[in-house]
This record gives sequence, structure tokens and C-alpha cells, in this order.
Amino acid sequence: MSPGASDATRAEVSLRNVHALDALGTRGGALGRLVGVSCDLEAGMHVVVGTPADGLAALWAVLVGAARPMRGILLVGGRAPWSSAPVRRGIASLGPAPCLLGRRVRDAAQVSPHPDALLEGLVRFGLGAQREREVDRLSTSEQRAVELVFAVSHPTPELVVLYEPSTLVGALDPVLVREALQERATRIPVVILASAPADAHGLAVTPRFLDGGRLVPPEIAEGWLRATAYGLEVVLWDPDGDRAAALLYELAKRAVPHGGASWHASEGEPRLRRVRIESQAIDEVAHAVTAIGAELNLDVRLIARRSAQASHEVTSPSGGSR
Amino acid sequence: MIRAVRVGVTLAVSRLGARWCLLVAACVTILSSALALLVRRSSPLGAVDAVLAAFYGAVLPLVTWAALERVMTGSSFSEALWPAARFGHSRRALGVGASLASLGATWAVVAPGLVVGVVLAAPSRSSANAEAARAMWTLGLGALAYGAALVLGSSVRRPTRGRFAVLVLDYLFGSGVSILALPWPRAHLSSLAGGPLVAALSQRASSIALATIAFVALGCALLKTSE
Repeated sequence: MSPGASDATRAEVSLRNVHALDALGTRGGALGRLVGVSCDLEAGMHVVVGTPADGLAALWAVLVGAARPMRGILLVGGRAPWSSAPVRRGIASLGPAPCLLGRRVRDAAQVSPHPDALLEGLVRFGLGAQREREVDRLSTSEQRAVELVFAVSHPTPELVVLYEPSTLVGALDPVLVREALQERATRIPVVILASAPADAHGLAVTPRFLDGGRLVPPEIAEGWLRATAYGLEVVLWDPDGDRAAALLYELAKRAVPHGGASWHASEGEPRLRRVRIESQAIDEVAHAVTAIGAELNLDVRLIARRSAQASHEVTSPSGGSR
Repeated sequence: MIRAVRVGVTLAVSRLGARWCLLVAACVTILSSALALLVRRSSPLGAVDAVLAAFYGAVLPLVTWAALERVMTGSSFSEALWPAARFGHSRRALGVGASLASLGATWAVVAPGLVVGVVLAAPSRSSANAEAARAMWTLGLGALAYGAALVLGSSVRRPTRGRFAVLVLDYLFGSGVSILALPWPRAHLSSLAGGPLVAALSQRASSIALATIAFVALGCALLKTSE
């Protein structure tokens, strides 16, 4: 991503002074906004870290053409995705909320212009059994897993935009997904929007930060990445992909002081979740995690202190907790 | 284009759901039967007109509103179409399909109740058949006009308020017979149900007015929607 590049049409994706709102607030209002974002996205992997309040969902919405920028210009291949159906056909995306259409997963694939590729993708990523399942009976994480597979199975994408692709995606193998994305990134821009730098793990890319609706300049972002992090790593058995979220939800309700949290599937065993909680009050967090684990009957396998020296995974100072 | 319209129909049908349609149809039928029997006992001569007035004045707008709230999932026209539009389908074509399917479903849900009500309220079997056939035609026009007006209300920034505002304005202005009532379906449906003529227009002209309202409102909503 090269902010401020002069030729708006040369880049595959070009944002110029883009102002936008998301629709995640109450009664259709906005939760986050973009304020004058300018950057170019060439072929390659791009990770943008922020929270919905920082405008992460608004960035997703304008990139994929779900929302129109209030001001500024956003072009994908020289055309605006909001007003061009053919451009949207070339954008593979995973959004904040699942929106599979149809009675069964198989029917949901038929809405796409290339259903066979999507259904083959489900088999390739180990979700072949989901094809005949009814969409209403899938959990949120299962629906997101199906949508993620649909996104990475797009046969001819011009742009891939994934919102939190390592969060709530069921038992999907993260290594397979990462390999598919890296293969795509050799030809087209792949944009990953995440709430923690941990989501950039293994993607060989330096994340950019979105803070208060603006892209943080690289020199400041570098300082954030180097900042010392303290915290805990909790490993728990999470076959349905919803227990890490439940743990963090309970933690948030108890007002345990922490500066952000993220989780991702363990590489060897996708049903194991590694939850990273940034906090300097380690003992208090560990106590709370133990109590919540007992209350929710969570199968917590490990609670470990994270080494300050080894960690490069801090969330944005403005937030990043979920 | 045709494919996108078909996908729009699928979107509306999957969101409405067979269970919801059956439940509403059953409620409407029970309600209309009770109303027809009640009205016929008190005033046999105007019973059919009373049933039609109740349907066109209350049941039809409310069921159309409920169906569109369900299809739009509380969001705007563009946002509601996103699950299909993200695959590169034209929002306008999807909108046509989703709107027509919603209006068709509204008609299908209300029609059985209306037929039962008219048949029970009519003084004789021969007049019942003629009244029911006429009522079906008017119901179709009414569903089209109300649906299109509510779709236009859905294309504003606060869509839930937009749809509600359409209902309120229709009630306020459409209840009269002056020139102010001309753009509102309620006034023309009331005229077709045997009520006073709207701005001295004949019933035939009111039918044309309903079709015009539907055409203009749906056209404006689609023009407001980006491709």
C-alpha cells in the first residue's frame, strides 16, 4: 500500500480522500467512519488492523461496493464497485455479518455466477458435508466458514477483501486458507481487515493500522508494533468456534482491565483456539479466565504468560478489544 | 438481467418464508370471516362494501408493510439486496424481482381471506362470485401500489422510518377525497370499494391511478438505487 501515489488509475485499487460510514450502529446508524483515507493497493497481501469504531467495517463496505463513499473516489480496476455490477462480480469478500442466501448452502452457491467453483471449494477445504445443510441451521461461525471458502474459491477475482478471516470461522484449516490467499496475492490485491496484528501471522506482511478513521503513517505504526506487550495466552478446546468469543464476552462484562484480545485457530489442530489477551494485570485476567472457564464449562487447556520480548502483537492503543 | 430478477425473487421468497405466509393467510382468513359474519348480521346490504373497506383500508397496507419489513430486514432497499448484489447482480434487476415477489406474496396471503369475507358477506351466491372476482383485481392493483410506495419509502436513509412515514401519510392524506388524496393508494382503493370518488375521478380512472402510483413509485425507487 503506498499512500499518496499520484496516478489513481494505475493502481488496481485506488482510494482518494475517501470518507465513509458503516451501518453497524443502532437503528441503522454508524459505528465507525473513514476520514479522508487515501492509498493504493497493488497486487499482494495487505493487512489493515483496527476496530469497527476505527472505521474497519466502513472500509470493508466501500471496498466491496456495499456502501457508497460519502466523499472521495474509490476505484477498483478504474471503476467504482458501488455503481458497477461487473466490478462487484470480480470482488471476493467476507463481511462482518454472514449473508448466505437460499435454503441450503448449495442454493447459496447458486446465487453466484460460478456455483460449481464454490461448491468444489467447499470440498477442497473440508466443508463438503455443509453443502446439503440448511443455512438457518448453521451457526454463525459455520456460515462465516462457508463464506470464507466461497471468497477464496472465486475462480477469477480481481480483488479479495476479508473481514476478520481468522475469527469465528468454525473448524476451517487456517493453513489451507493462508496458502490459498498467498497464491491469490501473487496476482491480485488481497486485503485482510482484522482487529489484531496476530491475524497477520504467517502472511509475511507488515500490518497497517486504522485509527479513528485514518490510516496511521508507517513510522508511527512501526512504533506500535515494537511496543512491549504483556498478556496471557489461553488455549481452549473450541470445536464449534464460538467459545473463544464467549470467553472474551464474559471477560468484557466483568470489566477486567485489558488492552485488547484476539484469537485464532491453532495450526496443528484447528479446533484448538489460542486466545491472546493483552494486559498488564496478568494475575487478575488469569483469575477471571479460570472463573469464567468453570462457569461456562470451557475446556481450557493452557493459561500461560506471554513473553514481553517474544511478542510483537499489540493492538492499536485506541482499542482493539473484542 | 433475467437471472438477476430471478435471484431477486429467490431473495424475497427465502426471507418471507412459507411459514410466515401461511400464518398470516390463516390470521387474515379468520379475521375476515368473523368480520363478514358480524357485519352481515348488522347491515346485510352494505356488508360486502364494509368488508372491502376494512381490507383495503387496514389489512392490505399492514400486510404489505409487514412483508416488506421482512424482505428488507429492517434495512434500506440497497442494503437488503446486498447478499445477492455482492455476486455482481444488478441491484435494479434484483430490486424488480424482490419487489414483485413481495407484492405477489402479499396478494396471495390476503386474497383467500378476502374471498372468504366477500362470499360470507354477499347476500347471494351469484353476486358473491362477481364481487370476489372484482375484489381480486382491485386487491392486485392495491398490493402493487402499496408495495411500490413502501419500496420507495425504503430507499431513504432511515428506511424503517421511511416505510412508516408512507403509511402515516397515506392514512392522513389518502382518507380524504380532495386533490391531495390523488397520490395515495388508500383514496383510490376506498373509491373502488364503493366509497366516495377521489377528486371526481371515476372508478376506472382510480384503477389507472393505482397502476400509475405503482409504476412511478417503483421507478423512482429503482432510479434512486445504484446499479
